[in-house]
This record gives sequence, structure tokens and C-alpha cells, in this order.
Amino acid sequence: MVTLAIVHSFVSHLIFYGILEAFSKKVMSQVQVVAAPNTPEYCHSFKTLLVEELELQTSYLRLHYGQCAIIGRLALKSAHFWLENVRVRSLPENYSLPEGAVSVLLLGLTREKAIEQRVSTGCYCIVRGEVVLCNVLRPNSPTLTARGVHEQFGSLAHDQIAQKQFISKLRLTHKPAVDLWFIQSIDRPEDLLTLRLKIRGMTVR
Amino acid sequence: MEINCGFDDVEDQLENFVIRRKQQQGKSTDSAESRAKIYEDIPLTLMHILRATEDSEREHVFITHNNNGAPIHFRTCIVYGFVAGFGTHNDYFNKYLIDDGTGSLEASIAKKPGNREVISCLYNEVTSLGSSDAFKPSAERLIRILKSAMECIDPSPIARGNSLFLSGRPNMFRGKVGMDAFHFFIDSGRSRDMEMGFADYLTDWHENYSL
Repeated sequence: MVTLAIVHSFVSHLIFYGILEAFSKKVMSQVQVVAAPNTPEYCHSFKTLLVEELELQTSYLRLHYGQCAIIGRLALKSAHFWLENVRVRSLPENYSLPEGAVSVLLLGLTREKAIEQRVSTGCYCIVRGEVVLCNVLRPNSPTLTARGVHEQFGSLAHDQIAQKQFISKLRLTHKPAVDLWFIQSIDRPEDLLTLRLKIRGMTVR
Repeated sequence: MEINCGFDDVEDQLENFVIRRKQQQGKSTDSAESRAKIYEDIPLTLMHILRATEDSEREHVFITHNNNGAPIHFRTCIVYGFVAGFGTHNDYFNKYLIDDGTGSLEASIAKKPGNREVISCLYNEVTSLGSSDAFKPSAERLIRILKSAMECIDPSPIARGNSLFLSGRPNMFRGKVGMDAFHFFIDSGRSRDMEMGFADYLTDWHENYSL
């Protein structure tokens, strides 16, 4: 708190003299980040994500919150539809996983819908929807989001052991999944993914 | 007007106003030309449009920034987006929620009812001409042309899940950023060649962009 107060008075000094306004803004935003619990902001556009980014995320506190667009190969495993990863050619050889190495669960896609949308297992698709956490032990219970995880985590702030237990328990009961809004079969998935990632890289601040 | 001042007075003031305005305009275009190039029909992402601001000095000129913070001045732009939903259509505009993964906004596409009427009149006329053998080959060609002309004018076939090319300009209204599209082109189906072509052009343009 003492350091915060020092930073604060330092900042107000800078503003008083009307110098280095950009710098002071930067410091101010850092102060706010420290002061407020960093609840994630909902992503209102279909951000290009990788299957790997959802499936290999070890901490659900860092899971994407909001809408996403994912390119992958459709698969049917134990009566559920999954989206398998495709190779990311722009990554170095030892970082890029072979096709189909990991897969993410798709919610809301039935056989009828798949036929209606002209997609079938084995075909390459772009999937648009929302990232959720699905309870794998009780399949029909309500889904969670990264924000829900943050709020529950925050409510245990008085007890760090309980926080750790909550996160590790969640990893046993919940898996990341995509609540599907749109699905479209596509050609040349690797090329499209490479270009879409390039645009993502170009627009990240 | 008759009570307060004569006709001459009004004319005097009008002349003053016109002269002063001209001087100002001349000045601003001079400094503008020396300052930055204004681009037309540049490829942008929706995030660039959402970040754009209006130029305070010049009408219909917008300023956006690339990732390095370099300003880009432009009048019109081209975007490629996915139709995620519909807005409220009215008699003159169809509105669509478009999304390219970097942002989403509402795009208005003019319905151009006048042009549509002209084309459908021509279409009917040509179809009736096609019934006589002498005109049949050219009538068939004209029908094809008129059909594709209609595809470029009538936005009603645009469906959720399609992708669109749009050329137009940002539209700032009550603090919300949207887009007014002058032209559109529907790109649907398995082949993503058009999307990839645009993405390639977009990334190249911005990599090579310098002031």
C-alpha cells in the first residue's frame, strides 16, 4: 500500500506539471491492475484460437473468456463430436504437434445438425462459438466459464490452500469445450490457419 | 429581414463569409498534403475500424493506427468478415453484424431500391424479347448479365454464416462505430481462397506500410 501511495503521488505530480502524460497513464493503468482483481473481459468477436490453447491450458484461470473461431478436424468419439488440432505450420518443428494429437469437445452438435450443416467426421472445419468449461462427471450440469472460475477463486481469497484445492479439483471435474454456434467445412485448413494467425499476431496489442 | 437590414447588407455578409471560408479551405488542404497521404480502399481489419477516429480538419477522412502506433489516414477501406447476425433492417438499409476475429461491428448495406427497379424492368423486357428466335442468343446473354448485376445490388440473399467482402467507410454515430458499405460480395462455401487472398493482401499491406 505504501508503494502504491508513493506511485500515486508521483503520478499526480507528473500530471500537475503536465509532463509525460503518456507515461503517467501507463503507470496509472498498472496501479489499477494491481488494485483490482483481474477478472477477464468477455471477448465479443470470434478470436482465432488453437485447439492446443484450450486443451493444454493447465490453469483454468488463464482460459480464454468469450467467443472464438477454431480450425480443426471433426471427429466422433464416444458419441460426442470433437475437434482435433491441425498442424500449425508457422510454428517451429519441435513446437508444432502432429495432426489429431489433441482434441477439444464440441457442445451442441448433434448428428442431425452435422448433416444439416454438411459436415461429417474426418472433414476439416472452422468452428465458431464460446469457450466453456464442461463438467465431465455430470454431463448435463451447467457449464462454467473463465469468469466463473475467477469469481469462485476470488471468493476464496482469505484461504490460499482452499484456492489451490479449488483449481486442482476443477481440473479433475471440468474440461474446456466449445459451445458451438457455427460450423463450416473448409478446404486447405493449414494455409487458412497460418494466415488467420498472422492477422491475430498483427492485431494483438 | 426587411425590418433589420436591407438586401445589400445580407449580400455583403454572404460575400465575406464565402471569402473567409475559401481561404480556410485552401490552407487546410495545403497543410494536409504536406502531412500525410490519404488512402482509398485500403485493406483493414475490423479492429482498425473500431479504433478509427474522424479527422477533425477534413470531412470523411478517418485515422486509424497500426500495431506500431503509426497513423493511417484513409477515406475508404475494404474488409472481409463473417456474418454472425442480423441487425434491424429498414426500407433503405440492411444491417448485418460482421466479425473477422479481431472485432465485430454492424455494417449497413444500402438496398438501392431505384437501381433494383430499373434492373428488374430490364429483366422483364429482355425475357419477353427472348421468346422470339431472332433475339434469343443475345437475350440469354443479357439475362445472365442482369442476374449478376442484381447479385451485386440486392443484399437480401446474405445469410448468417456467409462471409462478405465489404468496401465502404467507418460510420460513427452516438459513440458507436459501424460501417457504411457501398459495395458487397458474398463468399460462401468450402473454398476459403478468397479469404486467404484477402488475408495475404492485408498482412502484406500492413507489413509494407510506412509513413
